[in-house]
Amino acid sequence: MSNPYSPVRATLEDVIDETPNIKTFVLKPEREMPFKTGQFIEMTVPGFGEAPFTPSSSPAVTDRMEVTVMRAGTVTELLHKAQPGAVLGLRGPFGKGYPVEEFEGKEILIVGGGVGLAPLRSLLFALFNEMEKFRRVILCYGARTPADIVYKNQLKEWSEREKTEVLLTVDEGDGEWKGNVGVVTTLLKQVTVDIPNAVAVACGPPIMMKFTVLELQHMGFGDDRIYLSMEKNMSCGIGKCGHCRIGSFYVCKDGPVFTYEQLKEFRNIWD
Amino acid sequence: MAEERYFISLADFLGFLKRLATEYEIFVPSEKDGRFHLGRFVPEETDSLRLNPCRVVEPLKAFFFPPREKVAEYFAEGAEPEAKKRIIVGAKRCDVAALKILDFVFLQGDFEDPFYKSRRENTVIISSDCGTPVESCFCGMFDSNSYPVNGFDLNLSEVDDGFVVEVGSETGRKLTEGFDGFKEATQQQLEQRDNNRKEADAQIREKVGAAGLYPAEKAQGYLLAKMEDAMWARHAENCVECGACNFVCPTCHCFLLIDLEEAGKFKRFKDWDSCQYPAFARVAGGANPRKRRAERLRNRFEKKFDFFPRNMGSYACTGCGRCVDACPGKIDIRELLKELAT
Ligand code: SF4
Ligand code: SF4
Ligand code: FES
Repeated sequence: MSNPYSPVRATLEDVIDETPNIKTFVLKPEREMPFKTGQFIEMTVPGFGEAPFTPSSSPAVTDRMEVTVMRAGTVTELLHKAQPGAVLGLRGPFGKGYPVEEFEGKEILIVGGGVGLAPLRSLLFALFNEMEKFRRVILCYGARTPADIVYKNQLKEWSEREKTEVLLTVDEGDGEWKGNVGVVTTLLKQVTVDIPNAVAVACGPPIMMKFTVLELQHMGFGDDRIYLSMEKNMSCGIGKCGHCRIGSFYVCKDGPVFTYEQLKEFRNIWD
Repeated sequence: MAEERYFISLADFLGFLKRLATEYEIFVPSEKDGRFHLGRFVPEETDSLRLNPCRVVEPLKAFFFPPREKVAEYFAEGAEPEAKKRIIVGAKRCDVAALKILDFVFLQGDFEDPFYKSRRENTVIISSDCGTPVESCFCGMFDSNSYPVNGFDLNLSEVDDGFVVEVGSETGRKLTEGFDGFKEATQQQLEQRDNNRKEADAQIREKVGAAGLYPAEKAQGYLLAKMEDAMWARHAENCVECGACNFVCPTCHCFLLIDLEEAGKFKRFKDWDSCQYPAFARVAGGANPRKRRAERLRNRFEKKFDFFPRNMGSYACTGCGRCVDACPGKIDIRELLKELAT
């Protein structure tokens, strides 16, 4: 009898400092935990509790998993104190990920805000793994300040890949920042996308997602072509505990990836 | 399958339970201060049995989904213990209807809850017909029968000197086999049962009308039209956020996983949770989509009368009235349902 509430033991192999309050944890679970990009896992701090995260690593790598975590609550506070060698737990993967097959032959506009780039990085790896299937990838990423930008080196690498564009912005620059200043939607005004043959994928803080959806609609994206990664206070991850409801859905089992079409009839989805 | 039914005298039924008590932990109804509860059946001390004329005070869910249950002792894998073998006597139509909703939650979908499953598989349900409804019952809104037609292993209908017993499952049949107290039911006994049922059906239907309620099909539409109404805030004024409405509700299934370290062991528990608690929907970053009591009260209705019909094709309310009796703020679901229609 398999027990969906019991975590698999995972060893923390490495901790990468991304920003002052975001770290990436490299985990090696006791048994392989293959996932589809966009699916999420529950990470356990033993004896203390769990929190949901979408892995930020490539779904093609099944013996390691990377999880990028912003310090935001009690569990993440403890995680941030963890050192390599620590034992953590993992449950999952849960939910529905990005329908990458549906992106084939299309331009993919990816919009990220803050730590919301974590699930999108996994998606980017998945796309890069079979880039011949996609027309183009455009990443628009916004962070609060230059110091808050995650995956700095990789962003540069990605911008040099073929069929890939990377646009960055910060809400507030510093002395050295020469790039765009403004919210992420200001980047959307700068990109040219073949809208009828494109999909858009967004992940970030609720307020950023809200305005991104408005801008994407304004650009001409149909609601069924806008993919969103939703955040709710998941507990069980398996559609039983009732915590993560949005309208007629549970985020843990029907999401975390939804199209805006699926969600738009429900009130207060950004609260 | 033809309806399989017997007659058993009260004395023989007690003998039947006493025999089963060696193998099962048995729960039977008993009356205390005019209300019925389920309690442990003690064979040595029991020489009579009075069935509850209506649902007992506590919801049956606690037998399958206890208030706190250990669901993992992690990184130290042992097999999960099999649930105890139990028999529950005195479940009602609304109770078996509620179990169907919990079955949907815990057994359907990509993941099964192995703890619920084991308890469910190891529990025999001996239900019984309703006689007189209690004040808060409005089950007739959801089902016009005062007796269950499925979802039980055996069902009892009180007649003179004993019960008409209906077999509802293979498990039920096996229990009756080899016990010679089960006699063929006479035509007269069956007629008496049917007449009792008609009378009880009439009573529950009458209560629905008297409470100003309507057939349940309409509830979802009425609710959706009133989502932004001031009624939620007005009723929520009296809510003290105790969660009693959720805890006594036979269909409320929400829980929270809680981790503890005890004696060097990592344990995970599944604890009942309440959507009326302020932090129920709060995310780690602090955002809370249901900050106000009005939003949380409305959430309970939305879940029962919109989410469940959309996902399961049935309401997650049986009209048992337990929340009416339990609420210290005197928030009465019947009043709210009635107001939805205005
Ligand atoms: S029982 Fe009444 S007071 Fe308690 S949480 Fe429910 S509605 Fe509020
Ligand atoms: S909401 Fe109230 S009346 Fe309906 S099933 Fe739950 S406790 Fe019974
Ligand atoms: S996290 Fe439990 S139902 Fe979604």
